[in-house]
Amino acid sequence: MTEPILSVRNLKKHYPIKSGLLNRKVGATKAVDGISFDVHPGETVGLVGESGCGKSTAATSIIRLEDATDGEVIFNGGNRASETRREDGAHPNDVTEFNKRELKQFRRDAQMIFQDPSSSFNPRMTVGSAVAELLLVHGMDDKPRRRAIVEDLLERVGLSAEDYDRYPHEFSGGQKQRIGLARALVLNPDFIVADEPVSALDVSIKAEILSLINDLQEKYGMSMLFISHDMSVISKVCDRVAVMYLGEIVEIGDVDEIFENPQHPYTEALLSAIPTPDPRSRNEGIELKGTVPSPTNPPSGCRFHTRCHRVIQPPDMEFEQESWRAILNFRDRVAQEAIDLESIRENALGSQDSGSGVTDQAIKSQIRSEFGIPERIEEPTAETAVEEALDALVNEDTDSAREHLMSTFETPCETSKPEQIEHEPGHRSACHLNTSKGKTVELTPGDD
Amino acid sequence: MSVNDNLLEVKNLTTEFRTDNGMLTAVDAVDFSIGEGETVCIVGESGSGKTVATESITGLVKEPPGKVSGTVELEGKDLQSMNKKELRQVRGDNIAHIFQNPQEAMNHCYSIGWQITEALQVHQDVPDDEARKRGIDLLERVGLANASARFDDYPHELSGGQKQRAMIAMALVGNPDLLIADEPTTALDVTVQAQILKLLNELQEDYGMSILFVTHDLGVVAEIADRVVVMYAGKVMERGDVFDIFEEPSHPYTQALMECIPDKGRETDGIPGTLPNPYNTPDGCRFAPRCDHANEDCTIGDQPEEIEIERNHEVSCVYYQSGYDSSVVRDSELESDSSSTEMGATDD
Repeated sequence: MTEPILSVRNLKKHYPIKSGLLNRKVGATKAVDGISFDVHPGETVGLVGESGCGKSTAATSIIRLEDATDGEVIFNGGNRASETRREDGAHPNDVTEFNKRELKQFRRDAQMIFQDPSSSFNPRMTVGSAVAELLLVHGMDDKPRRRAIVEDLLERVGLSAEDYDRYPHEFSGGQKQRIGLARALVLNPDFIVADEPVSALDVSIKAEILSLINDLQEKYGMSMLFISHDMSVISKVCDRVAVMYLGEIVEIGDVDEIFENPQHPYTEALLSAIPTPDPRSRNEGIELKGTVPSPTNPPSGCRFHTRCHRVIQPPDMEFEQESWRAILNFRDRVAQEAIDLESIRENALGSQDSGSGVTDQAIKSQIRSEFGIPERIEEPTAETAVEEALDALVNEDTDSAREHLMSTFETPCETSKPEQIEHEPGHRSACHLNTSKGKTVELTPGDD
Repeated sequence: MSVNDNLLEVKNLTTEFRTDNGMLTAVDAVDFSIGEGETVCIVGESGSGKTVATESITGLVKEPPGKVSGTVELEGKDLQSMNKKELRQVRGDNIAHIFQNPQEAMNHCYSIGWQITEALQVHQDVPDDEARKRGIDLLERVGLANASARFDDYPHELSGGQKQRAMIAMALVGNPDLLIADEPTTALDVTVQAQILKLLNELQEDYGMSILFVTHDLGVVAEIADRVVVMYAGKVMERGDVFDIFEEPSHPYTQALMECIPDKGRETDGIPGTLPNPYNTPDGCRFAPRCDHANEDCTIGDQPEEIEIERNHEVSCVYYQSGYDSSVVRDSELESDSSSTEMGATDD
């Protein structure tokens, strides 16, 4: 296998949380928490996930717009090929260790395209000079030549040479994104990071820009890291895709593999969120409830277990998967002491005639219905535990309610962290459900 | 289509703007109607006049420079002839609006709870504690977890999806008959988009309101619409039942939009070209300059009249007029079944 152009190993980016008079560090927001992947020459790798899962932070850390907390980003583009590790284990091509001079050279070989084309251009600069500025910064003093290069490039991205002297506000969103592409290409980079380049665009323009990106990549042969929250966009441009959740890669593999045979429940849910252009298949599919939890205090074990529709049941019990999810949600809310008994009492009151008050029984069944827990759970131990917890809740004894729930219900997903399992060569996922389906892999920190 | 059942009846709606470069016609003689409990989607690219059309309904277009003509009737009452006070009563009470970008549509200086109860107390004489209670109930109904605690949060403390939920609560507080949703999911993640669409469907069932939904994404249309109006450059190109539109898209523009939906294995380059200059719209069909099937008849006269090709499915394309062979546009790559050709040209 050829040497990858970019090799990310165990990359971490933590933002410190400081507080108090002395501004001491009291915690960290783990936006990116140990991701590893490779990008090979000419390849487009997608990074997909919901907002808040750390994909943009990963991009800015890779390109060193921000300094990574830990890990390596080895960039073999430009004329850095076939470097080997020094004796002390450091790699000369490690972006995170580049000095100022090396960084400037790196900025020439790696470029970025931003999400919002309107805010990434200086409104007081003509678009031509905005693109030509990069050439000037990197030492091209010949003004007519700069102009000629940029004019040629504008035509290549589907605009005209006369557009050189126009200002950003004169262009539509799609045209501005074309200029963004021209700016990324002007230095002839080996590697481009595209951060949600089409999510601010209309569907028709989106399709246009995606196809332009594909054409340009074929022509110039650069590699790309393409970030998006939309699986359907990923499918159009990427060769491989890495699915990110809460700072970690939960699944990585060939685009076709991932689409046809998703192994991680989160990937499954993301795929199912793509609106299907078929009015007859409404409301089918997996609904991902809630949003990504805070990366300051991520869930234990598998980070997705709080929202997973396939969360594993305790070995000695058997439920309908839906009730199991409901019980876990209930348990987590009780543990957070986020059950508002007052409003539940009112809701229960609403369903019956107002009067002296509500019976405890009514409150308990109101709680059950709000969380979607069935009136009677088939599993006797589970039923007893839920009932005892409800009794404790009604008596405003949250502590013992929590104890009942925590001691009875525990999913293997929260106790241990899933290993990366290899399904096919290059297709890995990290989910407890797959432990028996393949062999665990340990990514070597070497050069592939 | 029986006229009397309709909640909202828009006829000949035209919205123009006086600008430094002359008159700009954003919406040009558009008709549509919404029945009770129905969801109608207006779909088209940016710049096709969808948003201006919906804003013209509730008088949100500033006049001048805007100029709105035509009739907009809500339950038989003409909104255009209402004075400011009456219109204010309609807004929020009968018709509520939610906007694309919840970040910009909210006031940063007030808590979301304040903004929800304000909308309620403007229209109804409700004491503060009762308003608060109803606000919290609504926040719960729209799926904001821990509603009573979030009630006093400010917009910046909420995520995009949560803000959009709060916006929906704000719109629902007056129990409107019609909810106008202008690209409410465009700024959101796909997973959150799926949540919001599901919520709107549920709320519609609970409250029985009608929804006018504006979007550029046909994938979203398929999830939510009962009927679809396809707009381009201020004109209606095609309208019909959501099943008809998806199973038999008949206008070349609708077909082109369908092709834009990203899908694995299908190559698409978008729709070549851009919308026509709004100051100087082309003669004939507005879409003709970008249409693969355009002939010389497409570029003369006015936008072709809408022709009913089947019940409640109308298309504004010369190929469906008598004397033309509609199979030319029907048999695009999307349509492969032979039944569509058997229908042949329409007789009207």
